[in-house]
Amino acid sequence: MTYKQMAIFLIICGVQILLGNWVGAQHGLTVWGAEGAASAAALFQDAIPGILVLLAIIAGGVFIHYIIPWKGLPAVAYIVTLGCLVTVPGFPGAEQLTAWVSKINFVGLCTPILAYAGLAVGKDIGILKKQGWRIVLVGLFVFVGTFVGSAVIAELVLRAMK
Amino acid sequence: MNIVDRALKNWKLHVLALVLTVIAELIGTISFDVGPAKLVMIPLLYSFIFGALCGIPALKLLTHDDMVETSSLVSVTFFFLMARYGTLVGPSFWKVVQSAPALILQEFGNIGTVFFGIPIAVLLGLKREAVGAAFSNAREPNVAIVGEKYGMDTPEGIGVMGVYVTGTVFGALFCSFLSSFIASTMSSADGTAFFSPQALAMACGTGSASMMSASLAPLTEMYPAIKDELAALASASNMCSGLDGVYMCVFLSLPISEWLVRLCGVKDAPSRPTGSASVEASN
Repeated sequence: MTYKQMAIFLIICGVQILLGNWVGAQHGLTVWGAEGAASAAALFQDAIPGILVLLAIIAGGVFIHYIIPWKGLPAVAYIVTLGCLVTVPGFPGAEQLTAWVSKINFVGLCTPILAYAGLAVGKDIGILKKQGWRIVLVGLFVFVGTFVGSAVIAELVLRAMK
Repeated sequence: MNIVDRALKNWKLHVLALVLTVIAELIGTISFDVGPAKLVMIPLLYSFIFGALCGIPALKLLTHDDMVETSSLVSVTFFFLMARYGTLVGPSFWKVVQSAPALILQEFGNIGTVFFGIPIAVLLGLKREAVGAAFSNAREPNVAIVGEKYGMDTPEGIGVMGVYVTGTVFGALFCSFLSSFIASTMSSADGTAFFSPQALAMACGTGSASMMSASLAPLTEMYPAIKDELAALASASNMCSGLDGVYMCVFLSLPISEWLVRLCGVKDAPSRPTGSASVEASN
């Protein structure tokens, strides 16, 4: 994917996230209530700086990935690290940046992302049928094992640390 | 015109994604009791399910080309999520550092899947497929490891691809229900149940951003007072899994899987990628 294509799609995606965030913040259907209109407009405006900050972090991460000759890490690794760095208490402007991005609900952010993933998933169903139900079952057990295994160790270590 | 250009110009996809997002957010979070457990349904699950339903051939809404074009975009949508997760870890950075021993050691829990998964896989009648299927949760880096070590057209390759696809199709849904179930029946913030919400949050990060979000969301619904801390721990754990996952697999979980699968009675020799097999034959 070229950087231009990436930029175009990030803007499309950003608009979807803004709209989803706005509808979600109004707690479902109350968004259409008359008294909600003014606060809805304010919410929408509040979220815009947050999206711009996220876009800037993404651009920064992609740029770092571009200038570093070693390509062992994917761009998302730099994006997440940069996002972390600029909001660590003590970084210049960290508080303001945190305040802006906190207007973007992090669970709501996933709604459009999973919509795209859902639209794409149909092409995998054929593979799944071919592989058979046994592997699907093993897969589900694997997810249980990973979750429970990690949770048990984390719990025991947290208790030992107290 | 390349596939990404076609995908970008395919307005049907973007309008559909937007409509699904708005519908999902309008429905909002629903939680209901199932016996002793509490199930939390979140908008990201609806948008995923509705999106998948759009792909039903009888509806004639999406063609196979549409789906292939969409999948060329999916990886970039995660950029937003990763940026936001970074900004979640930042403000709680020192708190996360304090939990570092638990965060690092719980990574070994990912090996739990081996002891659990391999015997079950063999019981279900899989042979060498079991190694590929159960040595990890089969995210992209793990698929790459199997491809390099065994080749993709081998039983091991079939196993890892099977679980990879299972993850993309059912992963978010399943992990969300799993975490809802465990959190509502076996966790409490005051120490009266076995799991603390912090430990469960760390377990959410297994190297897949969508599965992490889906399993984290029920936790933040149940413990709204500490939701930022939980999100920071989950994201940090997911970052750790991304960094150490490959080493963990190559040095620990794959060798253990190989040993365990033989112990379970599968005597077939490990497959070799086609290239290296021919080299050996000529020696």
